[in-house]
Amino acid sequence: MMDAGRHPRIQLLVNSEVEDITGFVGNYRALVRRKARYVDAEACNSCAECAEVCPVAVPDEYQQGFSSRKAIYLPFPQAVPASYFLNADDCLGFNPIACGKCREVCEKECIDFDARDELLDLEVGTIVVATGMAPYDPRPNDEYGYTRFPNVVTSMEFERLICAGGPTEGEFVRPSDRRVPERIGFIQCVGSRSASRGVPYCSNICCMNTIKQCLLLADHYPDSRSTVFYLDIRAFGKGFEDLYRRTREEGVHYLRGLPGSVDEDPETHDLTVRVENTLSGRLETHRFDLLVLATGLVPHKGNGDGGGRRSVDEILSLAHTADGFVMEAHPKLQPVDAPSRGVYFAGCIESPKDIKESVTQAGAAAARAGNVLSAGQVRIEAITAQLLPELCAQCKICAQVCSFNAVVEASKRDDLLPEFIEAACAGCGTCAAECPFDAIHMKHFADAQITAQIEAILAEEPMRKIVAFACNWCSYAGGDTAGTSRLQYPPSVRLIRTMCSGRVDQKFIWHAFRSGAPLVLVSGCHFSDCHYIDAVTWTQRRVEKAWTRMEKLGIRPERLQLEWISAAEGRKFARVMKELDELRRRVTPEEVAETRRILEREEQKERRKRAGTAPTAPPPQPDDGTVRGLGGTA
Amino acid sequence: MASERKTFYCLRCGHRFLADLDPKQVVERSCPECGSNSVRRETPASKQGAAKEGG
Repeated sequence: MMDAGRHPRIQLLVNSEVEDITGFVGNYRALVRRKARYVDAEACNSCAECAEVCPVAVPDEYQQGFSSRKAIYLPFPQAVPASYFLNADDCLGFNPIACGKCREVCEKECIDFDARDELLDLEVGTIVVATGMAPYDPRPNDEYGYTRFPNVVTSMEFERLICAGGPTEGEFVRPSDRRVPERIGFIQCVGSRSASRGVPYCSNICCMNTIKQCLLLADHYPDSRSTVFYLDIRAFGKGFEDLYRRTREEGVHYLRGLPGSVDEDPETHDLTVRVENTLSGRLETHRFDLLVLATGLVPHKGNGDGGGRRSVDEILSLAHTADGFVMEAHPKLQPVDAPSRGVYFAGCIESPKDIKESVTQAGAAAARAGNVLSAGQVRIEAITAQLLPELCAQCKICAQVCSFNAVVEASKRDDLLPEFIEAACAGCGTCAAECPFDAIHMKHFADAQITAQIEAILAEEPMRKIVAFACNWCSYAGGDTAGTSRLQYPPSVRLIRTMCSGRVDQKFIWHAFRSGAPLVLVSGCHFSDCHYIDAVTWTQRRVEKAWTRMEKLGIRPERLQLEWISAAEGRKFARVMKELDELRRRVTPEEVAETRRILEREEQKERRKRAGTAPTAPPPQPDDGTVRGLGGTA
Repeated sequence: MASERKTFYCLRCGHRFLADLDPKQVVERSCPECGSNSVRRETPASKQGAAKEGG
C-alpha cells in the first residue's frame, strides 16, 4: 500500500466512491466522488494533537470496537496517506462550528471545515474491481451466544486482541475481566457450509486462520490450551498441512463436531460448551475462558444503498454466481476477466481467498489490464451486432437490453440512431432478438441463417423432429457432454446452436411452428452461469411472452419448452431430451396443421400491417471488420 | 413492491405449486416435481386452458 502511495504513476483515491462508469474497453470514463476529509493530507504530519483535544469518543472500527477513537483520527497505523481524517458523522458539528478544538491546536493549519466533496471525471482504459468481501455476522447463530456473552468473540476480534498493535498492545486478555484466558475454544464453519444459516460454501480461509491463531497462542502463551471444534480441517496449500501437524504437536486438541449449545457461568463468565464428538459418538462438555467463532466470508454488498446510489457491481453490470460472488468470463480460461471487456477482478470479490491467492490474482489482473493498455487495440470475435439504419425506429430497446453498454442510446429528439460499439459488444444477440423492427443484424448468427436451419430440419418428416435452440456455452456443450459420455437420447432432437439463448428471437419459434415443428425447445445456461451477464433473463421473458401468445392463439403452450442446462449436465441433457420426445409423441398431425393455419393467418396479418407502416428491409451492410474506438480488427 | 406467493404450473408434468413472485425480478424457476424449467405463472386464462386440455 505504501509502495502504491509513493509510486509516481499510481494515483490513490482513498475515501472515494465510484458513482458512474461509461464507455468501453480502452475508453472508460469513471465519475468518482472524493469525499471531503477536512484535513489537508499533504500538510498533516500526524502529530495527533487534534485527536488529543477532540472531546468525541466512538468505538474504533479497526479495533473491532474494543477501544475508542476520536472524531478526528488516523484510521489505522499503516494508513496511506498517513494523515488524520475527520469523520463528519461523528464530529459535534462544524456548520456552524460547535467545538473547533482540533482546528485551534493544529499548528500546520491543515483542518478545513469548509472542505467539500470533489467529483473527478477520469478517463481510464481498463478497470480492476477489488472491492473485497465482508465477514459473516454470527448473530443469527444464537446458540453460540455471540453478543450475549462477552467472552465469545469472532476470529477478527481475536486477531485484534492478540495483535501487538491491538487495543491491549498484544496483551492477550478476555473482554469480561481482562484476565489472560488459558482455555480457548475455536468453533469452525460459523456461517459457512450451512444451507440454513449463513452460506452453503466453504469460506476457504477459516481453517488456516484458526491454525495460525492456535500457533500464536502456543508461542506467546505456552500454558494456554486450545480446542478446535471442526467438521473437516481443510489444509490444502503449500506448507499448510505442516502447520496443521505442528499445532497437533503443540498440543492443540481437535474435536470433530460443532457445539450444540454454549452457556455462561454468570459469576466467572466462563463458558460451557456441549458438543457431540462425532468420532466417538459421545456427548461431551467442555469449559472455556474464551470462545472464538471462526466466521466465514460473505460477498461484499458494495457501496450501493438500494436507493439512488448504485454499487460498483450495479454500475459495471457485473453478473453473480449463485453464492453471490461475481462471475468471471470463464472460470478456467479467464478467471480474472469480467464478462465486459477491459474489466478485471482481484481478490475476494470473485470468491473467498487468502492473501497469497489474492496477491496472485491481483498480479494476473494487473497483467491482463497492462496487456490491453500496452497493445492499444483489442482483438474480438467477429460475432457482433450491426445496425440496419433503414429499419431503426429509435425505440431504444437495444440499449436498454444490452448489459455490456455496447449500444449508445438513440435519440428521436436529436434524430440520432443508436450507435453499436463493436469493441464492447459480446455478441449475445439479445438486442437483435428484442428489436421489434428487425433493425439489428447479428453477424454469423443472422436471421436468415437460423431460419434456414429450421427449414432444413423440418424439410422431411417434421412430425418426428424437435427443434432445439441451444446456447453455445452451456446447453450445446451439455449435449456434447452427453455425447462424449455415451448417453443415449432420441434422434428426434435437432440442435440449432446460438451463442446465447438470448439470440432466440420469438420469430424463430413461430417460424419453427409454422414449418411444422411439433415441439420447440429453447435452452440456455443456468442464470448463475450466463456468459452474457443477464441475457438469459431476457430469454425467459421472451419465452413467457411466447407462451402467453400461444395461449391466446389457441396453441398449447406445452409445445414450447424451456430448459437451463449447464455444460456439465450431460445426464440432464439426455433426460430432458427423452422427456421432450415423449411430449412430441403426444402432438398429433391435426394439431400441427391447425397451428400452421393459425400462424399463417397471423403472419399474413403482420405482413399487411408491415406493408402499411415500415420500409422494405435492405440487405445487411457489408462488414468492413473495423472495431470502433481502438483501431483493431474483428 | 414485495414478493407475493403465486401459483405456478409446470408445462412438462402439469404439477402446480406455490412460489414467491417479485414482479421486478426474473429468477430461475424449476418444477419441484420434475425439475423442468418450463414453469409458468398460472393466470385465469392458463387455468382455463389447462382444464380444457386436461393438463
